[in-house]
Amino acid sequence: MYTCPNCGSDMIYDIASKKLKCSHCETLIDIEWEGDHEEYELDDYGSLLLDTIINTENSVENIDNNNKELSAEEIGKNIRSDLLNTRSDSGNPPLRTAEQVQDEYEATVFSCPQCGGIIKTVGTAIVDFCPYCGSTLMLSGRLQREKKPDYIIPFGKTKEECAEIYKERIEKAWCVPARYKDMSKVNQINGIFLPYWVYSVHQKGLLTYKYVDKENSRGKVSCYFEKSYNYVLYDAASSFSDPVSEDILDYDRHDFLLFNPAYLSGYYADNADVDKEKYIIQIQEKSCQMTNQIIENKILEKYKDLTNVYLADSKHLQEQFNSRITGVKEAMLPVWLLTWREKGSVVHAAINGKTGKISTRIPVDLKQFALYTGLMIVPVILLVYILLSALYGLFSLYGFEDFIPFLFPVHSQIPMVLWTEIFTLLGTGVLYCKTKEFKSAAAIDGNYMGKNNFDHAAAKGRKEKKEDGCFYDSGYVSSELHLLFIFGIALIGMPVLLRLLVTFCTIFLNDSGYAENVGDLICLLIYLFQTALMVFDIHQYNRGYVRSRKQMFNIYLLLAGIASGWAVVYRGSFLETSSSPVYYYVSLLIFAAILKDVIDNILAYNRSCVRLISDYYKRSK
Amino acid sequence: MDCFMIILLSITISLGICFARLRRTRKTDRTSGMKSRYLSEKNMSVSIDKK
Repeated sequence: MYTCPNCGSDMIYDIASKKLKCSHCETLIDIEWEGDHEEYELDDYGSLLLDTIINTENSVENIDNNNKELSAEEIGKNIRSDLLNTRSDSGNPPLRTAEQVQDEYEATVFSCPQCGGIIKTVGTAIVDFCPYCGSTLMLSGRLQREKKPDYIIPFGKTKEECAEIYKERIEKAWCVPARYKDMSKVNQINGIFLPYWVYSVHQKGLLTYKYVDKENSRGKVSCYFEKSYNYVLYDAASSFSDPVSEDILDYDRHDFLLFNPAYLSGYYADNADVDKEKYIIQIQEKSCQMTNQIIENKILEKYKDLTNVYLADSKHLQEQFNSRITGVKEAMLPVWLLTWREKGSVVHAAINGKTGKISTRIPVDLKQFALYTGLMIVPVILLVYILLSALYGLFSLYGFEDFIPFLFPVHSQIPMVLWTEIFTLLGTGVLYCKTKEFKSAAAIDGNYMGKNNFDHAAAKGRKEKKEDGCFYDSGYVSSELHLLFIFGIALIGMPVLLRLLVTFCTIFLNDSGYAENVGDLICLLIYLFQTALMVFDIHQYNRGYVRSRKQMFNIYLLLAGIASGWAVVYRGSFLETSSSPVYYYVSLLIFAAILKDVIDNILAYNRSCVRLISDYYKRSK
Repeated sequence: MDCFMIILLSITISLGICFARLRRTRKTDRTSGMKSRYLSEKNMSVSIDKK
């Protein structure tokens, strides 16, 4: 498309000079400007409507009046009909006017036979490698006219700079498999423009907030507000996963330029195949929440005597905020995509082509992890030993010998409950981390813990996969887990307090019977808590949330530990548990469960780092 | 007896440290989340009246 005026060779966009550069004779040519960059500088709230596809007949006031009774879905539908009103009534594509032809540019479009990904190029570039699935099948391209996007951000980072960023990321990471350190793969890095939808949102309205002040009296605050959000970015390419595109979102709105196909020269571009109305509900919800938060803060700032402010009607946010999408534009944003195949899966690393922000998932090398853990045990043993000895010495020195059993809880029931408690909480922590990890892992192509588990959960309707590929009930899980954590910490604190009580009882009241009863109570509470945790864990499994069938083994191990713990409790030998072999059996059992949980977690994480090639085959069908 | 406890405690602490370290290096910046999508928020005008 762009040929050198001197030698006729292809010209590509040169990042350093920001000009078109001949690949043969290195001639530089300025990229023609098709007009100044149109800024969304909105100095007057009334003139907020942007130059968009949306029907301009619906002025701010009209929409305010007409749409008051409409639900968010209906507003979305209206906007959709406005946005997509490009077909004639007969259903045939409308005839192309001269203006429409001007809005197009010529591109060679390639389609990957394996993954169905679309790659566009301007110029005579040959695509022999799919940047999405790493397929090296020769792609056949066809020349066609494509609709021009509105904006573009040209590449700001060169391939070499991105290779350095990737290298740095690999060097920083811990327990990286050796194959990831092979920098020859970096040559397969491709510059690609990804399409994003750029939304503008406008809100205004009269809101009523309720408040509670320092004297605990209640009242109302009324508030008139007007707010707009511009440059709200959402990924418009289905071949690129949303969490990754969100990870690298680090663009500056001042970098947006009017689209010129010359910037695509020498790079690939993806197709905007995600409907622009798809994100509307999500944007409406989020922007209302954000505005609500800002207004609440502003009220609290203005009236210092208020302690709590909240919206009087917490439902129907969109209607209350009169939230409207006032514009949708398409922008092409630069990304360096590193792709390669290994062991039946595809590995990705994406780097923001303007700022160099990287998003990649590097698996964990289990051998290295075991080595580091093993190496760490020796100094930790020494530290723990030194710490305990020092405390023992201090206590003996100052005549607190009676407190030593509390510090060295070997000859009491405390070690067992404390140990199992630490292990269980560690396990719960792992589960919690895993839940968070898998929320994003699941989003990466729905490939986590094996596809079956995912489908199984979806089929039973236990959770809904939203448009960005995430499962949205994790908020529920994390809050419940937090509660359990607080409960757990309270229960750990309790035996410590009770143990102190026992020590005081023994010293001052000389009543060991009382101490034994307290011991009973401690064990009972702790094991009740652990049983609750286990039930919760199994409940999570039943929800198809995190655990695979294989991982149930951990739960069986922990259950065995708890059962044994209960057995010890019933034996009634709390004060001498450490002399009982059952105590060691329980400790080791639970420790093994935790160890296996950590390993499972790492393996599952490793699986989530890559995408199976078979998934691509499914997609192309 | 003490030795057993110390070793077990040390293994757990080591595992915990290694795991925490891994998580830290693997963690991607998800805190930006929604906010990173909103490249500009402008034109906030609020008038507040206490009733």
